Amino acid sequence: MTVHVLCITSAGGLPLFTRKKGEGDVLPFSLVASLNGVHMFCKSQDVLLKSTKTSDTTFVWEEFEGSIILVAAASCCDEAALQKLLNAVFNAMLLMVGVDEIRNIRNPDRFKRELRVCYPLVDKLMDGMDGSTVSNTAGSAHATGKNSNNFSDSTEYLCCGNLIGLSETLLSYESNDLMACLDAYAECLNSQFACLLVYGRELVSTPAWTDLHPLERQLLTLLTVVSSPSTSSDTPIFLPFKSPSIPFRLIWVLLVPGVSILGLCGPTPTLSEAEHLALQCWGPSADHLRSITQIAPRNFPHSIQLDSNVLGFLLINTEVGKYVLSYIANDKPVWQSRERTESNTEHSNPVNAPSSRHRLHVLRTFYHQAVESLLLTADSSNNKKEKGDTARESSPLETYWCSEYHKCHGIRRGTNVLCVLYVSSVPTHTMRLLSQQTLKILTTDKQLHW
Amino acid sequence: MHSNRENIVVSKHSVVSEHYSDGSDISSDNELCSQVESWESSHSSSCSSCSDSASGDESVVWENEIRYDGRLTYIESDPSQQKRNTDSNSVHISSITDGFPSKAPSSKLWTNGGKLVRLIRRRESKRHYNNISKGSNSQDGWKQKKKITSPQEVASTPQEQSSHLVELHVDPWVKPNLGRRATVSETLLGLVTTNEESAVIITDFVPEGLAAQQNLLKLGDRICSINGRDVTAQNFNTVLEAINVPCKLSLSVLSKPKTSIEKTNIDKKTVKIYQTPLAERISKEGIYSAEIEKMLLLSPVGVLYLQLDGLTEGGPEDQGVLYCYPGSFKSNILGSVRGAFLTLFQLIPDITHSTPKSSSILVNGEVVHIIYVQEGRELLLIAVPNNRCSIHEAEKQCHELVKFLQFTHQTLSRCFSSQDDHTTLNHTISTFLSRILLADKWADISDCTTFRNMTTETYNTRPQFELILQAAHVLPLPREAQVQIDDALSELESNDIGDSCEDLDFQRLFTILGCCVYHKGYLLGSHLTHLDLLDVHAFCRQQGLVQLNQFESVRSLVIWREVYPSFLSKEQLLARSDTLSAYTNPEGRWFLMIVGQKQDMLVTLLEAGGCSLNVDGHPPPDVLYVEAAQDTLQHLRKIGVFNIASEWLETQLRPQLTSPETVAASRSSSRKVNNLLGLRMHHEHAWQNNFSSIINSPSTRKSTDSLVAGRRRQSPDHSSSGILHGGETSEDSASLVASLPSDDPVFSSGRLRADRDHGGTHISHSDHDGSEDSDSDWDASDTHTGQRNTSTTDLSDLHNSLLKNVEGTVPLKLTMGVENIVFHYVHLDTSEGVLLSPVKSCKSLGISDILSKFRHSAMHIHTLFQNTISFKKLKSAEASHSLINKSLVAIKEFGVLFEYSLPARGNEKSTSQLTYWVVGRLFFMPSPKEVYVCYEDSAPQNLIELAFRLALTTTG
Repeated sequence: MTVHVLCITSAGGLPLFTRKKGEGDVLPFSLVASLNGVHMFCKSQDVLLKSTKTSDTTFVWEEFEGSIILVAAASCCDEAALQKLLNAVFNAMLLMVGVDEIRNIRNPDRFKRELRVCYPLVDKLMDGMDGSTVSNTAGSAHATGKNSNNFSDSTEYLCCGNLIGLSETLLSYESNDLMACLDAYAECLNSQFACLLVYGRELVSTPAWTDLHPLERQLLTLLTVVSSPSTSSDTPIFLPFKSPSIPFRLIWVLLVPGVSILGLCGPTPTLSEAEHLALQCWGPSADHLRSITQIAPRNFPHSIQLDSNVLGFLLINTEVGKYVLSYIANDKPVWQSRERTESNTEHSNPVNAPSSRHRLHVLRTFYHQAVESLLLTADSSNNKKEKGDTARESSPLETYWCSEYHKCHGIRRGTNVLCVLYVSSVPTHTMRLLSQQTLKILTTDKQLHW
Repeated sequence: MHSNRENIVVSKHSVVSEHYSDGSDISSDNELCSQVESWESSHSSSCSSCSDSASGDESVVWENEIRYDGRLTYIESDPSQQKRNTDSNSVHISSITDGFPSKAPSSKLWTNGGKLVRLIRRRESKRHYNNISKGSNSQDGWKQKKKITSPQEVASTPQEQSSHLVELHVDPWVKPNLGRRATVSETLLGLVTTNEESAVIITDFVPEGLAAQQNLLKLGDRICSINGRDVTAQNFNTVLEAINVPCKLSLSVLSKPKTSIEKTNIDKKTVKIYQTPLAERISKEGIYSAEIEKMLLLSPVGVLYLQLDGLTEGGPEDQGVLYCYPGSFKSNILGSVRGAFLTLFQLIPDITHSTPKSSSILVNGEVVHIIYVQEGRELLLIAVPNNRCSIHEAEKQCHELVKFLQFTHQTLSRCFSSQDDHTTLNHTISTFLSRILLADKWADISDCTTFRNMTTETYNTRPQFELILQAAHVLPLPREAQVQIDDALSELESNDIGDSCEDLDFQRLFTILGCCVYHKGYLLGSHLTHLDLLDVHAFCRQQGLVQLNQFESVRSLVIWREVYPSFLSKEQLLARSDTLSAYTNPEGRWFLMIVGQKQDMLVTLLEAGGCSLNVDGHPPPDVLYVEAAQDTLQHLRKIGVFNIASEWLETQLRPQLTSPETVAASRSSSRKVNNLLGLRMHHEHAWQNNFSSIINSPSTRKSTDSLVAGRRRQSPDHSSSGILHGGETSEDSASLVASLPSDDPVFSSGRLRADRDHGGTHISHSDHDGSEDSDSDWDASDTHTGQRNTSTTDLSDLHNSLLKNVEGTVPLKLTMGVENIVFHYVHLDTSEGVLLSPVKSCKSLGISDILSKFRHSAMHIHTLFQNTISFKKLKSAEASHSLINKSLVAIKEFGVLFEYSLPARGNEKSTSQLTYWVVGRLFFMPSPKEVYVCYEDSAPQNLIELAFRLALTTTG
C-alpha cells in the first residue's frame, strides 16, 4: 500500500511538494513532471484528464483554483476516495495559508516554504486512506510523542478512524455537565467556536462549532493531533468554507493528558490569557476529565453492553457529519486490562476474531466499499439537490457482506448509518436484528447526546 | 473412424453408384432416414412452397455471396414470420405442429434425392473457389456494382393502400431452369408468392426473373387480379397454368402503405434478399457506412490503434497511428490527445509495476472512459462515454470486442494492420460502438437526426448485467429435450457427412470440433469446450447474431469464417513451457460455420488439418457441411425441441418469479409469517439452534406437503456444519426436525455440479401427476430417487409427451417460505461460460425499477468479488506482496436491501413499502460460480441452498 500526493503549480509546472505514505520511494522529479505534463497536454486539447487505473493503483488529477494541480496515486483505492483525499488536502493547504496565497502564487519558492506547515496534516489525511496496512512507524511518529509519558500504546489511542469529510466524536454520559464548562470558557474567549477533545475526538462542542463544515472540524481536530508536543498552542488558520481569506486564531490548551480544549478567536485574548482562563473554567472538573479519558479507545461508555458477537461498530450521522468508531466494542475495559498486561486486547478476543487493528481496517474498508457507495449515495451528493429526495428514497437501507473471517452489516435509519463488524459465526439473518438493537441502544439514549 | 477409413479405401476406385448405395446403407441405420424413405415412396405431389425454396435453392443463393477470402455472411429474413411475430409474440403450438408434414418432406429431400444435386453443386463450389483464388477480384467487383442502390423513384408511393396495374409480357415457352419443384408463378412471372388468408402476396423475386427485371413490383404487394380475373390463393395457380401462349398480362396489384420494412425492401431490391434492418446491418459490410461514421462522430466514442515504438520527435502528425475510427485521426476524439495516453502507458509502469487499464477524461462536460489494451508493442485505445456504461462495464465490453477480434483475426496486430480489410473492420467497430450507444436499437438508426434524438433523450441504454457477463444465457430444457439435442449434435459431430457420397476425396475436409444450438438468443445445448464457447458467444454477440436470433426470424442464415480459437494461444504457451506435453494441437486451421433457420441457430467449429484435409487458400463454406447443419436444425425442429423451447420461454414455469404487485396482493390477503420474531427467539437461546422451524408455517397446507429445510450453520472453518433436515409437516404444523450427519462437501457448492449429472435421475418427468407429490420437487427428489424415467424414445411421441410434461411440471420455487418471493436471479458459471437467468420477467410496472437496481448492485458485487477471485488465484508467495486490500480477499457473500414503494391503489391512501434484497454469493468449489438473487424481504434465505436449487433446474 503506497499513497503519493503531488502538488504542482498549474502555471509553471513547478512541484510544490510531494508526500508519500507506505513503502516505495518518493517519486523522482522527472515522473512528477511527466504526470503533470500529461494533464497539461490534455488541457491544451480541451480534454480534462481525471483518472487512470491500473490493476491495483489509481491515479487522480485535479486542479484547484486554477493555480495548483494535485495528483494522487494510491493502491487499493477507488477514484472517488482519492478525489475526496485531494479535496481534503487542498482544504488543508487552504486552512494553513489562505485562499489568496493559493490563487496568486507570486513567489513559488516562498510559497513552497509556507506550505511546509501543512505537511503533517496532509500526512495524517493520507494515513486515513487505508488505515492499518500503512506502516505507522514513519507516518505517525510525530503523533506518538505527545502523550507518550502516560500511555505507551498511545498510537492506538490516536489511531482515529480518519474518515475524510467527517469528524470523529465519542459517546459519553458526562456530556451534559461538561457543556456548561465549555460554554463558560467560550464566553471567556469571546468566541462562539469551542470544543472539548478527548484524544483528538470531539466530546462536546458549542452549536457554532457544530455548524462548521465537517471537513473543517476534521481538519481542526487533526491539527491538534499532529502538532508538536506541548501543553498549549496558538495557530493562525483560515476556515476553508467559512472564511477562506480572513484568518482566525486557533487556541489549543491541554487540560489533562488526553483531554484538550480548542477555541477559535480573534486577536484577543493572548495564549497565556487563554491558558489561564482554561485553568479557571476547567480546574474544578479536572478529576472528571481524567475519568473521561478511560472511554478513549472504546469510544462509548463501558456501562453499555453490546451483544457478544459484535466486534466493533461505526456509527455515522450523515446530517451533522460526525461519527463514532469503536473497534474494541466487547473487550474488557481498558483500566482492567492494563493492570494485568500491557497489550492484551488480543487475548480477550473471541476465537478467530480479527485483531483490533485488523478490525479497524475491515470497518473502514466496509465503509468505503459498501456503505459509502451504497448507503450514502443520496446523502453525500449535496450538489445534486434536485434529485435528493428521490435518490434518498431509492438508495439502499441495509447492506452486508460475509467473509471467511468476519461479517459486516450496515444499516441506515434516517440520517444515522450504523456499520457493525461481527464474528463470522453469527448467522447472516441474525445480524440484522443485532444491528437494529445496537442502533437503538446507541441512538435513542438521550443522555448519550448522539 | 476405423470403419470409415476402410470404407474409404474400399470405395477408392469403385463406381459412384456403388458408393451411393454404401452410403445409404450407413445412413439407413438412423431412424430419421428410414422414415424418410417411407415418406419418399408416398410422396408425389408438388412440394414447392416458400419454405422449400429456402432449403432447396438457398445454397445457390448464398454461394453468390461468398467473398474472395472465403468468408460468407448471408442472412435472409423471413417476411411472413416477421409479420407473425409482430402480430402476436406467442407461438401457437398447434399451428407449428400443423406445419410439420409439409416441412418434413423438404428436410428429406436433400438426404436422399438431393445427393446427386449436391455432388454437382459441390464441384461447382470448388470450381468457383478455384476461380476466385486465382486472384481475380471479379466477384467482389460484381458485388459492388450490385450494391448501388436504385434511385428512390418509389418515393412517390402513395401512403394509402392503392391498387395499380402492372403489365408483364410473359412467354410460357421459354422456361427458366428453376428445377422441377418451382411453382408456375416462379417460372412464369419470376415471383415467389405466399398465401395469406386467400390473398396472394409477393414474398420474393426469382433472380434474373421476369418481375425482377421489370422492377415494377415490390415485395409485400398483393396480386388482386390477372387480366381482369380476380385471383385468390385457390385459383392463382390455375389461372397461371391456363396461360399457354406468350401474351401480355396485366396484373392488378395492391401495394401496402410504405412501412419501414418496405423501405428497406426498396433499398434491397437490387440484391433481392429480403432483410430486416438488423439483418441488413449485420450482413452488409459498408452499408450506410458514411452515415454511421458521421453519426458516431457526434458521440464521444472512438477506437485507435497505435504503435508504441519508433516514434520520433518531428514525425508526421499521424505518426504511429495504425488504425483510427470513426473519422480521420483529426476528427476522432482520441486522435489529438493520444500522446497523453501513450505517455501514461509508458510512464505508469515505472511507478506501480502495473500497466494502465483505463483512464477517465472529461470532454465537453461528459465523462469518457478510455480502455487500454496492449498487444506486443502496440496499443489499442477504446473510448466510450460514461453515461452509457460505467468503467467496469466498459472494460468488460471492450474485452469482449478484443476477444472477438482475436478470434477472427488471430491477433490485434493482424487485425488492424492489414490494409485491405478496413471495410470489414470498420463494420465491426461501428457495430460495437453503436451497440454501446444505442443498445438494442443500434440497427434501426442510420441517420444523424434520429440518432441525435435518441442520444439526447434520457433513454435507458445502460447495458444489462446479464448481457455484459462473458457467458451464454442458457435455457434449461426438460431432460428429454436435452438428450435429444445432445443426440442430434453428436450425430452431426460424428461427421458422417463426408463419406456418405464422397468419391473423390479420401479424407474429410473438416473435423467438427464441437457445436452448439441457440434458440431465440438462448443457448439450448453446447458441445463446445469452455474456451470455444466463450469465443463463439463473443462472436455471435459482437456480430449482433444473438440479437437477430432473439428478435427476428430468418429464412436462412449462413455464416462462414476462418477463426483462431483462443485455446490455440493457450496451447502454444503450454507447449513452450513443457515440450513433452501429451497432446498438441495439429497445425491446422479453424473455421466457424453458423447456420440459422427461423429463430434457431447452429454454430459449428470446424478444424482443417490434423486428421482432416489440409487446406490452402481461402476455402469457401462446403455445401455438404452447411446442409448437414441445416438438416440438424430441421431435425431438431421436427422432433419438437424448438417448440418446447418456445413454450418454455413463454411459460417460464420454473423457477417461478413474482412481481411486486403480486407480493403486495398476497401480503394483504394472507397472514404474514413473522420471521423476525422467530429469529430473535432462537437467537436468544443460541445461534447453533436450527432455524428450520421458522419456515414451517401453520398455514393451510396439506399433511402430505413436506418441506426440506436444509440449513447449514455458518461456521468459520466449514468443518462443523450440519444439515438440518426438516421432515414432514403434519396438519397441526408440529415440525419434526432431524439432524442428519453432516456431509459438508456434498451439500455445499460441490454438489451443484454433481447434480448436473445426477439430478436428472432424481426428478422424473414422466407422468407422475399422482397425488403423493403435489407441491414440491424436493419431495420428488426424495421419493423418486433412482427412478429413471424410461420414456418412450419414439420420436413422434416425444413432442407430445414433452409438451404434456411442460404442462404437468410443477413450478420450482427457489425460496424458503410459503410464498414465492423471487423477483430475479442470475447464476453465472464462469468455468463453463454459461449463465442462468429468467428469460423474461413478470409483466409488471414495478419490476423494471427493481431490475435496474438489481443490475446496478449486481455489477457492484461482481466487481467486488473479483478481489476474492483474483486473490485465490495468487500463489501464497505472491499473495503477501500483492496490493489487494486484505479485508476484501475473503468476501463470499454480499447483500443490499432496497426499499420500493408500491403505487397506492384506489382506496388505500398510504403507499405501502416493500423491501427487497439483492444478494450475491460466490462459490469456489469445485469451480468458481456466482449467484445473484433479488427477492422480497419476507423470509430469510440461505444463498447456498438457493444456488443449489437454481443449478438443479439445469438438469431439466
